[in-house]
Amino acid sequence: MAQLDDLMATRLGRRVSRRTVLRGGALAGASIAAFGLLAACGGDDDDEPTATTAPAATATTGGGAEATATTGGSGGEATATSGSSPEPTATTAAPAPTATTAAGGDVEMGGELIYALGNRFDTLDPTITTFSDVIRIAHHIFDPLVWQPTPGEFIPGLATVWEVAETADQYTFTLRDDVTFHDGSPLTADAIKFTYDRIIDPDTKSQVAFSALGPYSGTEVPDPQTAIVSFSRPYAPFLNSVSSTILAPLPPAVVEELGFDFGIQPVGTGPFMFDSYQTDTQVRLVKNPNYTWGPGFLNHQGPAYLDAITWRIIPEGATRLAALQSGEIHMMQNVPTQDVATVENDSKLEIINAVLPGSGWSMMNNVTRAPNDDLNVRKALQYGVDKEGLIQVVWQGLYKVSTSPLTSVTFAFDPSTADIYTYDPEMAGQLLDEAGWTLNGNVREKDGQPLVMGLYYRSDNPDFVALATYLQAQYAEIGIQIELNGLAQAGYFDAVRAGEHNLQFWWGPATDPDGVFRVFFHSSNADGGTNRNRYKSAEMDALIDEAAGTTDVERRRELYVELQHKALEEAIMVFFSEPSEMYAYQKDTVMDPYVTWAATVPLFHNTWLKS
Amino acid sequence: MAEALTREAAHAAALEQLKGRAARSLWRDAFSRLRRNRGAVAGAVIFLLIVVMAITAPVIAPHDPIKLNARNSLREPGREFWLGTDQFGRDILSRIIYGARISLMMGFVSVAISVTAGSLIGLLAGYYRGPIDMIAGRLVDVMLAFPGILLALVIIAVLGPNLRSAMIAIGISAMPIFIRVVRGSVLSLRNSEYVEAARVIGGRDARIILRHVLPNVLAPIIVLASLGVPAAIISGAALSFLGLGVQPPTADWGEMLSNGRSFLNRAWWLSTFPGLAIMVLVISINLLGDGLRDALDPRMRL
Amino acid sequence: MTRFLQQRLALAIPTILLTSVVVFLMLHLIPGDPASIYVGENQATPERLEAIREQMGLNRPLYVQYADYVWSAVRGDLGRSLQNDQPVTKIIRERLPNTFKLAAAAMVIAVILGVALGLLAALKHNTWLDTLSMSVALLGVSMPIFWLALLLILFFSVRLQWLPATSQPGLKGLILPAVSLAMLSAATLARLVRSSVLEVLRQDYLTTARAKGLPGRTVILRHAVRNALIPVITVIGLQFGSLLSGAVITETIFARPGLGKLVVDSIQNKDFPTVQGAILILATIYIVMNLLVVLSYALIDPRIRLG
Repeated sequence: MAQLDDLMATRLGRRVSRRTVLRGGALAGASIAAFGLLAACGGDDDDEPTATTAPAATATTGGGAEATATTGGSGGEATATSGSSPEPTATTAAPAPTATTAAGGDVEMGGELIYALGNRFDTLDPTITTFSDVIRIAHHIFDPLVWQPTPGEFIPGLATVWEVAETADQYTFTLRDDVTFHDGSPLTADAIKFTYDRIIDPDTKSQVAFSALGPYSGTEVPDPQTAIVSFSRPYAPFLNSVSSTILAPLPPAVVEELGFDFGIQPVGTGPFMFDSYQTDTQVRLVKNPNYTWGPGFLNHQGPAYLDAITWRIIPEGATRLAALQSGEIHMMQNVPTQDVATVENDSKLEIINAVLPGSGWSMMNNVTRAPNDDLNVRKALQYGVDKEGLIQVVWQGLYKVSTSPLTSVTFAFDPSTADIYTYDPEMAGQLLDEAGWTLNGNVREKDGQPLVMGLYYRSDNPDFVALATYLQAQYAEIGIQIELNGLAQAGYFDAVRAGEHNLQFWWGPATDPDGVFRVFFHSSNADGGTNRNRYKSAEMDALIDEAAGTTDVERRRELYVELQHKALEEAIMVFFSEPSEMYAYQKDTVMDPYVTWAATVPLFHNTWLKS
Repeated sequence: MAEALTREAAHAAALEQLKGRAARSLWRDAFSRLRRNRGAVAGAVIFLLIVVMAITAPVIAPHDPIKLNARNSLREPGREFWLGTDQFGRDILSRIIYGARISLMMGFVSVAISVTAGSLIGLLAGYYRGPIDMIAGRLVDVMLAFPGILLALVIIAVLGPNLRSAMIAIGISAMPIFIRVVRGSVLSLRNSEYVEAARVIGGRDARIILRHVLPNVLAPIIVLASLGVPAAIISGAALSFLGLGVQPPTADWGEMLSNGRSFLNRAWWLSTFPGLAIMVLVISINLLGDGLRDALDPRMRL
Repeated sequence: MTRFLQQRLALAIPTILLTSVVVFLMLHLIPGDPASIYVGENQATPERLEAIREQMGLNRPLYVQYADYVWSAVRGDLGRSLQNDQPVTKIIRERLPNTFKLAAAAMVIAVILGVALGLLAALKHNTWLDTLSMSVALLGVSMPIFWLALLLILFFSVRLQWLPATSQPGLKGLILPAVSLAMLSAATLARLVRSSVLEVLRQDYLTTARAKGLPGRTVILRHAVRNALIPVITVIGLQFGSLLSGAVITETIFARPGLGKLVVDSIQNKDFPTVQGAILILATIYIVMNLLVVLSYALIDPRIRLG
């Protein structure tokens, strides 16, 4: 086990071990390819339509990486080629057989893993869902075209070889010829064409996959094993997109036959086959005995060790943990921070705590609405919050302070941002005085108007409620009155899309800085979109677009550092903390659980249960 | 003719006087029965103590219930914070003292809404019968068919989650039983001699309802209301659990209990004390309500 | 009897229709655009939102939507969920048994516990047993369900590891949720049984029966209990309805997929078809239950005539 940990640490830049906060930072810096997908949505946590927002339906030219971006490749021959290389690069498949597990010989076959999710979801069709939990399940029913074991490293999945046109608007995939769907039909390139065409059909109501496909214009199938996917303009993040099962090929015949019901009885190519689904209760998958195309970075590519996996949905955090403690389930996600200590003190349990790449918990200023249209007022909000205290109160001190739009494990994160705003209530007061807001009793006033800001948040999320409670009390100390508007999700979306808020929260992991800056600050997202700062600046747009289209890693890093400083200078958002994804499992039973580097997907291809 | 009228009037007046005396002594009897009921007296004392606590909250609370202090986060009960602190470093005891106000308000305002609206509809339906009664009857059917808390949930979804909506929602969903009971009582009174008499001498409907009908259905209304208050408090806590009750930073027992549940493993005091507070309040009002029922209307089955 | 049934059924239909109108109108009063919720935090252009609205059939006039809904409902089609595109009838069919089982188990516990406590209290009137039974009943109505449920889980699942914390198939998984759901009804029943038995005990015919020399126990069982049963049955009918929906919180805590939880989630997501379908079904069950209650009066007490 220890050996595996070390192995994974080297390969993934993070340790899967107790109490360790995992990092992928160093590696992420080493090679950033054109990813940027999986930018999960903001404004909510996992509790909801978390959606992976594709960074750019708008064109990002070039994409990030150099052709040489093969990294972390301690796995031997596994040549990894980043997607968006300017020259057409053909990559040959070569499984990485060197990664073996310490468990090697004494693996026990069979058993059924019971895994608890925290939230209900919409459909099991990965090309339609808006929930990241579905992607967790889909990684077992389906396979991606390519795998991305470490940031920017792409290795073969269903595709053995891929070729990217110089202009990054055409991708040619060569598929393995030995893959079959669970119904026995062979995987051919038609499946890719069918799946992608279906995604862009409005009747499919696809959200995340639709965004992930970007400016898709069509797929050609010259022969059964070759798919040529074309885009109407350069779309570098595409390889990152296809490294998730969001764009996994579906079996055309089955989908045609089932229609919408494909979402309740999916058929894929993955190591587990769909068995049963009770809406909002559980999904059961059974082992696919014919599976031989597992990802090269895992220790074996054949059929799974487990006979079955049951994914149970247990919404109440306390109950989920109780079920783990009482042995009803083997593993759970979304460990409430309140209970991390309990898990750590339980000798039978192990916790995985992984900082998420992308952006952390933050608060958007509506820069078009007074008083938040005033830079000094926004700066006062930056100086006026004690983030350590906030993290203590809301997350029991378990998260790290965030000082930049990017979390510290994300490519191009600039540590010097830590010095820009520190907790300094006096400075906040001065700034407010300068802005003309002077103290009158407990609340500041200007021209007889009190300094009031409406904070909008979803009242069904305890983290938001706690954050709001803390901030209201904290900002009262510098004379700002925060009006709390906790709304149910319906009212919330309407209010913030219409820009009725002064302030609102955001939470948004992503795998590429483009998935952060474009979502937060690009003017194309400013009118009712994700940029609820409603911030529009030609200069900012140009920087974001340039960074997304830059292939030189160092230049790209410089651009993102510049962007971080620009966002902070303008004090557009207040950044509070870096979130973690926390998993807990029975450490004497669950062997070799594997969590992917973006910390959102556990893979059970290799996992086995010790009796 | 004139003589007859006078005689009628005299008769009505006499009846009224008699009834008034009967009513007065009914209340006096009830009060003395209530005083002899040990449970009810205990309930009343505890309840009054809680009311006093709510009123004097700013004086007796040792700390500010809202001001937070991250350094005091999750302190165990001890010398400085008798009942410990919550994750925001706020004193649980002080929040319980202030929270009494919200819990009492939740109980009494919601019930006031159901009593007022329910009694009015019930009175009109029972007194006038006909189409009004028909409409009221359908209304009750529909509201009862909306099972339990669901009606409240829909109302809150329409009005937005906050204390005011919660009270309106609980008040409206508890209305049908008031309509039914009041209507039933009015029906049985409607044809009684003195109402008949009042009508014969040309009393206006409004006056008859207020002077003659209402006082006589007061007893069941009071009993129902006294049992409705604790139920409303419990419903309020349930709404807090669903995130639809009082919004921060207001101290409310239901909200405190609901917030404390995620700390059950780590800090038991967060949920235990507000939970006990709710129980004590609810028990005291129930005891008092039982006593009222025994005293006012011993045959009532509730 | 048949005429009575016809009458009641004739009354039930407008009630159900009226309920559906009320639900429909109230749901449309809830702020928020279902298409917007469906899209969530994803990027969505106004055109795309419009396309989704079109797909969901939400941009037609309200009365058209309602008429369409009723017409489909009459043919047994309650539409498709806006959240997951599954037929509402199918979702309800999946969930109803769960809720029904939970409510039934809770009812059984409530009746056993409630009648036992109530009888005990009444028969040992004014003794310490009376006080004790009524104190237990009082505790039952004074504890918020979710708190009780979590304490039960902590004690029986985590500490003792006797019972599962989440609902699993089989009886074992039903115990904790059913007990926590039953407490309120049990307490209500206990108080009711006590007062009705006490009342019956005071009445003359028991004195007569005793005077005739029947042994005390027979008197109580044959006369008192049977007469006390009528209000109890009324309340059981009423309580069953509230148990079905009172399950909202129990279902959330014990991760039981039932109708109550479904309605709460669907209200949040403004999923009209699902909320409407579920409430219609619950309303129908409620009405049927009440009909059964009234019918059962006649079985228990032949003196009661229906009509």
